[in-house]
Amino acid sequence: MKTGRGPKLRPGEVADVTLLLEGTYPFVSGGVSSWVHQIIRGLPEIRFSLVFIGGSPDKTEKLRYELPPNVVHLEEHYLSDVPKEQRVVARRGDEAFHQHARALHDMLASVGTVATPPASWSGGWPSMGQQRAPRRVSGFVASGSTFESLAQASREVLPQGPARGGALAEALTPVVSAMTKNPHGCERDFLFSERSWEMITERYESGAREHSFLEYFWCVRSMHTPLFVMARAAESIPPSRAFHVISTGFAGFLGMLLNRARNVPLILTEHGIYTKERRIELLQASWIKDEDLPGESFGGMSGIGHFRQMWIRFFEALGTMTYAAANPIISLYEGNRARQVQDGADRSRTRVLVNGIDIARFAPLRAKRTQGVPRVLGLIGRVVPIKDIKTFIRTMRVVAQELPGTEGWIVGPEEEDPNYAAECHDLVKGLGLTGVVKFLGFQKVEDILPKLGLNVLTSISEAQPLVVLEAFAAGVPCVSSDVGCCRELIEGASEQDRAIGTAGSIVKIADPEATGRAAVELLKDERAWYAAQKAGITRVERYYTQAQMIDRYRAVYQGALGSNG
Amino acid sequence: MAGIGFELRQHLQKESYTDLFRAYLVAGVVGSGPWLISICSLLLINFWGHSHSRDPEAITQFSATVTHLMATSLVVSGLVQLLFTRYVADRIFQKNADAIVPNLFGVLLLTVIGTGTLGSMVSLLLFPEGGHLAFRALLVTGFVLLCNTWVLTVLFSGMKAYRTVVVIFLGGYAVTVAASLALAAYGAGGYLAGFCLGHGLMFFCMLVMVLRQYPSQRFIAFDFLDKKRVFPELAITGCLFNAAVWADKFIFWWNPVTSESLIGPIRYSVVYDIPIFVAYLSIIPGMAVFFVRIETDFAESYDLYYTAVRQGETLNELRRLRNGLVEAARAGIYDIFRIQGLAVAVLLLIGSKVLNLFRIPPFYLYLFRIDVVGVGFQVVLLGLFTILFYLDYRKLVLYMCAFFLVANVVLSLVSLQLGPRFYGFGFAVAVALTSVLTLGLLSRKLDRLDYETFMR
Repeated sequence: MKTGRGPKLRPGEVADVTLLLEGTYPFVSGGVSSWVHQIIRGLPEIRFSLVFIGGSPDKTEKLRYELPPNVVHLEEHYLSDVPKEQRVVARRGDEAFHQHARALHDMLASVGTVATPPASWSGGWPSMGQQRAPRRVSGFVASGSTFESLAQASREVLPQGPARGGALAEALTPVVSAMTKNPHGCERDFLFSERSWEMITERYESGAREHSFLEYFWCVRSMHTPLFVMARAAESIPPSRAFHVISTGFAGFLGMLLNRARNVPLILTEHGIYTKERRIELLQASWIKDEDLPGESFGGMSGIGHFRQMWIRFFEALGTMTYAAANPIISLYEGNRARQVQDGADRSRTRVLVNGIDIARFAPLRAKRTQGVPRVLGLIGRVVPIKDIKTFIRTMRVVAQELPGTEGWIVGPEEEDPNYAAECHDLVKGLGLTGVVKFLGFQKVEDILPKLGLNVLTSISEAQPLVVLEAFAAGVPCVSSDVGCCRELIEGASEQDRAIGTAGSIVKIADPEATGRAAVELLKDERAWYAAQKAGITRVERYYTQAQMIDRYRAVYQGALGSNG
Repeated sequence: MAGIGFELRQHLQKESYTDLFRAYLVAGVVGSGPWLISICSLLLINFWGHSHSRDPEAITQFSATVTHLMATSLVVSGLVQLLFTRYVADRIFQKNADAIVPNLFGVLLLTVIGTGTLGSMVSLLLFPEGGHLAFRALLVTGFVLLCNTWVLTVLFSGMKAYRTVVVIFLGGYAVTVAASLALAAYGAGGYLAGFCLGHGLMFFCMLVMVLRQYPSQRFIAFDFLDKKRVFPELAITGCLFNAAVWADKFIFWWNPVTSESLIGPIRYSVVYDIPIFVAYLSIIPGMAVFFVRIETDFAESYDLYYTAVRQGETLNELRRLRNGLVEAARAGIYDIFRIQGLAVAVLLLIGSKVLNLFRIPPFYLYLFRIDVVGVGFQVVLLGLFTILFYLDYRKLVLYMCAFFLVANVVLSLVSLQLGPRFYGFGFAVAVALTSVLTLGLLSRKLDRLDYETFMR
């Protein structure tokens, strides 16, 4: 734990809501961080306490946001903060703790197999789409939209809800109570005890006996040590009337510990789906020394090396445990809600609460627009593979052929993945698009939006992209790939919503031809363009305002605080 | 959401298992190879002197002085012996041999300053009436030379140049014997001058050999004192072990009943000294087996096991190789027991003839026999310590050395109280106890080697 920065609660003081923030606000900027800032500022009557969980302290030099006055406490915990043992003493280890841990692992393993669809469903996790002719997009496997239908199917086939959740809760109780009562003892037991060794070797024998033991061992160790950091954090975090965690993962695990140890409500909001994001990261991670055997098959994860699978299952288990404790479980749109349910969330606890934006910030931009439709396509986002900038560049070739003089602007920082950025620049040159496609770097959206004819999203993964709403509010229609809830934003979610009309176009993922055609149609047909602009403005003002979002969360907090007396 | 990186893993991944401890083979052990040469040389000077010299008193003074120099230099230089061996072994493992020579000069400089100061103070303060200045100067010279020689010897053993060490010792002691006898006319000081000459020659030979083997850009360095690269417990272990081995001798020297004063604080024990030094000659068979077994079979299976660990073999394979390692350790220890046991048995039977050969009066027989047993256990103990060093149980060796020291002091004092029939039992029982205890602990460590390798 690192102390000193930000306000501190005095002993005995109680916060209303403690936000558990993994790798985000207030030390990392980004969409989720802005959202957190919005919520805190929008609810000045609530006293927030912030618990930041980071990888290592050197990555978080300064606060990226000025903390609003209703933040009464800030503390930091780092997963790399493993105690340096001066003297390692061999120990037998606590028998009961290991028995309970064993039972919990068995339980999680069995839950895991239930949560994973049977192998007959084309290779398990839909985002992998292994046997559905996977389309590789710059290293990622395109997820497609088959997911919802699979999730639908899973609900019909698989046992759900309380029966499973009850057994898990039962298995969790003794482990949580041991970890929260004596985190240091449990940690030392895990790291050094003979029983822990026995448990590790047993599980290795039963599940990984053909694989490198050294890898396995460090894999298990690296996974679990942060959990004890979380247990120590759970000990030190000041009292709070409710906890709100913004992801599953380690923060979710911490939330689960706090919820069970202190019997205080835990709210979960997931913007993306943490396990899915980790999965994408893990599939690419080069630090996992894995033999990715094509023939290997485990629970539908054929072709993924064993240690990647272990990590993926680990994060799934963290998710399952978080879902078992959290109520309500909030997502941004129906697709993610279905995914949460598939991953083990009790459906009756799940809710969709869409995000909103500050319309007042963007409405004035409409007046700044010039007459007519600017022949400019803008992609506002970081230059990283997940945004699939290359498809945007290829789209511009299609557009430039149909409508010469149209420009494509890529508006966003390039530092995060310099190699990918360089590839994008090369692609522009290679396609002869110099002068057509421009890299503008980071810009204020307010400066850019009035100059755009269309806002284009080619991402291969999104949740509820704020930039679509912001563009709508500024009077810019949108052409987007069919990811996250983009279809709901552009075409409408409910019956009434759809009646407003479409605010642009939805195209297939990684399809420059279709994206280009859709863009050209809108740019050429002024009537259609103005209709789309109107639909966008109406939709965002009716369903996606910041005030609505704040009201929804006020209600959520009131529910939690009320239930806690 | 910005993901938390996985750099954790890197934080957690330990530095891999070094297989360097063969180099440990052991400061003390290599001390024993040259040790034999030095004992024989001193015995030679003794016999020749006694039969040819007109001044047998000078020979006794010389022998006792050299014995004290040996004992104190081993204890004092024990502070850097293991420590520096490990430092050198680590550098060789890292293929960073350039660091060796500068650090050797660092060690030697510190040793010269430290032992020179210590020796000068001792010779000034404790030898109030101790002969003339030249004798004191030779005393300090001999002490400093011996300490530095032990450091170099240890370095050579780290480099596995056992043969070179033995050759240099043979040459050096040939000079020592010749020079001492040539200078016999000058009394104890003359003998000591010969001793210093021989040892000076040895020291410079070794230094030249090192410099030829490892040319270096830098002149001097003190990286071996770097906190991150050094294991302070090795300094204490080296010191404790030598202190433990010599504790009973000092107790007998310092007890007026069993000893006589010679020069200043230098005393000798007529009843105790000769039998035990002769008994030390009996370690030859045990040491031979020790070298062969530990250096070949055990070192190989050790390599196999830890290479497999590093290369990520399956647990099954690791267990199989661990069994091989345990088997090799067991076979090595068993062979030392067996061969040394045989040597001890033979010496027990023909003890009187051996004493006769060295012209030692037969009333020493009883003490000689118990010393032979004790020395035999000391070989076993060295074998056990070596295996423990291989497996990097530095702390355990430290504790066992401390136990050995305490046991030797306590039991030797008790044996003094019990009377002459029990002389020698203090040492023998102490070393036997330590060996048995260490054997038990090693066996436990080997049983849980997988657990200890990963979880420790």
